[in-house]
Amino acid sequence: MKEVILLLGVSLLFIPIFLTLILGFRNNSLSIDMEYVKDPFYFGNSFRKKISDVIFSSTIINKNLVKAKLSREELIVFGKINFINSVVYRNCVYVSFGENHIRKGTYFEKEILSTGNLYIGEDSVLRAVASNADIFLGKGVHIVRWIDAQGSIQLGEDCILGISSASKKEIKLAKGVRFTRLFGFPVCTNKNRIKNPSREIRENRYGKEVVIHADESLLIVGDIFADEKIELKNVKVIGNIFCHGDVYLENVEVGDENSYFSVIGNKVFISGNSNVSIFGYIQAGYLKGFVV
Amino acid sequence: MILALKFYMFFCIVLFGIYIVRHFVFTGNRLLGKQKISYGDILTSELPTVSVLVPMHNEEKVAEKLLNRLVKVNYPKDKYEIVVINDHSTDKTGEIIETFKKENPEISIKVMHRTTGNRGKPVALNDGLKIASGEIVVVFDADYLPSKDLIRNLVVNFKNPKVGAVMGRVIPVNSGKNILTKLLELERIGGYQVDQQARYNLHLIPQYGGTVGGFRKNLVVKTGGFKENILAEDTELTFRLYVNGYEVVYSNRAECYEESPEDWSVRGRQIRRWSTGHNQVMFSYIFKLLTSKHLSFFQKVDGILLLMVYLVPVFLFLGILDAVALFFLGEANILTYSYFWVISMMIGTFGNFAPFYQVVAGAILDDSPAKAKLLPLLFFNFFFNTFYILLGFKDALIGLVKKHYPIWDKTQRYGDT
Repeated sequence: MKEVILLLGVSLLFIPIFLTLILGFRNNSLSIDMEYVKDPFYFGNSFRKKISDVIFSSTIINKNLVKAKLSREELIVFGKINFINSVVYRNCVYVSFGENHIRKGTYFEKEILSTGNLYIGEDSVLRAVASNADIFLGKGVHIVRWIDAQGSIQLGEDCILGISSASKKEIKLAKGVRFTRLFGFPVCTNKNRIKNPSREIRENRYGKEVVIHADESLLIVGDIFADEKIELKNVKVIGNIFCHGDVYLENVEVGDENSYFSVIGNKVFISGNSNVSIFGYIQAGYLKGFVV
Repeated sequence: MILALKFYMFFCIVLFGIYIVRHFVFTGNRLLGKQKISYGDILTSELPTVSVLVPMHNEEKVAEKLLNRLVKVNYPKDKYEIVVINDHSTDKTGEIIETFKKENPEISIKVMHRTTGNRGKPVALNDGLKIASGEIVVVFDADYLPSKDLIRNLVVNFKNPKVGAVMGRVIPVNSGKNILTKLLELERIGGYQVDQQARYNLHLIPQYGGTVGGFRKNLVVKTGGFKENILAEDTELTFRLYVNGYEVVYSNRAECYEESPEDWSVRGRQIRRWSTGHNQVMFSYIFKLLTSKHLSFFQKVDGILLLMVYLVPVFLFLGILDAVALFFLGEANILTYSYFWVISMMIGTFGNFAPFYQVVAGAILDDSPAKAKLLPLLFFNFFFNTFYILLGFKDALIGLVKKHYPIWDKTQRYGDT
């Protein structure tokens, strides 16, 4: 018996080595992107740059269609999206000029760049969307990867926003929306702002749980950190909200036009019936942000 | 006598068993467990002021590379300063720093030339703290190459008022140089990607490592600055913060290149210094840690195991002698006593600083599993490390008894990467 245990024990030594053999022989060195900067607009800007870089080096197939190397060889359609049958060309990248409309229930496998306002019909599924103006999403639109607007983003109910959503202006939320990362000025449920708070606290808050339900509106100037739960109601915060557990927000304003902050939690619940307005960044686990 | 020898054997088996469990828990946490959110994810316009302290002693080969990186970082210039402490350099380090300062007037660069008093990193840092004006202090050794977002990524952790210090991830830049640098890369992968991150995830004691990390200036100054006789000022600060109710945070995405030692004698001296310093801290803090009201039971357990990291090889060495003695005294049935001993030695201390399950888990997480193919060679590294750790333990013991403190032995730079 002891010999068997010894043999099993010694064999544990070799399991990691076998694992490395099974998992491959790539010997790439650990690399650090020395120029990397955390940027909520990374996806959109990177995509725009790729398009502008290849626009003159692409191979013309016809007056609306070119072939170019983005991350890999792609077909790029130049034109108005609402004039194109997306079911046929859904595996193309689209660069569309002026105002564009995507019909209800359309499915695009590749990225879309719109230079004007972009209207996305209900229940459409798009991989990634960038617009140099505003974007309007109908009910139930599913963005698989990212959405980026130089203007505002207006969401319909029950939209699903993949890994990143960023707007230089407002992101207007609606009930049933699920998200991972949002960045906007502000990200809000409606345009109502919290009126001048009647009380003010200037301190950082830290605890296992931080629960603040103010009867009248309260101003907290400082950061709020918790290990398990943050629940805020009728509060304006000039600071960051960070929780390793879940965050609940009802009638809450974070930051203002002059200073932006972050709201970060494993899950983030935003009350869609209340006035929530966050100037800056919201982050939850993958699709664990909810407007309820 | 024989009873004592048997008791010691039993003690070693239990001790190594605990370390084995600890390493498996950490590995399991990184591969299968819940990962804590990083404070580095915070985006805000309201960042604190920061001073980057760079102690330099004869760093002419690397000084300019580091300074060039530090002026390119993504941090508001009105909240950022670089403090260079030229610590008794006899080469061209001083000239390089002064020239660099003149060529970069857009950045606040403060230079201190230390020519009198003791030499060494803790002394230099204490002097640097006197002229640093930032709320947060970030420290880099001269052979490090920070990326553009690193300072922001480290400093933003201090938004949490409980955080007293933060530690980033160190990645060897010269890992392909020779077999030693490749093995050191394995230790780094296991040590940071798995060990440090798991301790952060599990709310234990991640360690401030003295470089690619930062701390709150007022906390360190208020508690007496860096202890100038301790060779592991980073470990000392870690435990000082914890016993005072603060935490150290590990930020895995705050990555920075370092230059690893390229020859064995340099590495040996580095380990000896670490062992001396770490054991000095153990003598000073083991009882403070046990009696602290600020630490949880598991933090105390982890803290003790962390403090004993450079003592374990000493126990192991004595354990081997013990096993041999018992064998020749006819009191040890090798299979009875040693089957667990053999397993624990191989699994638990293989590589010493980063036991091999952690190394492989780290390599997988880094998407570089092939790196771990060199793993068996860490066995030899282990005996090499043990020798220098024993010397370091001896230095610490002599220092404790005779109050004769060892001199700071700076790691040699290569500057060829």
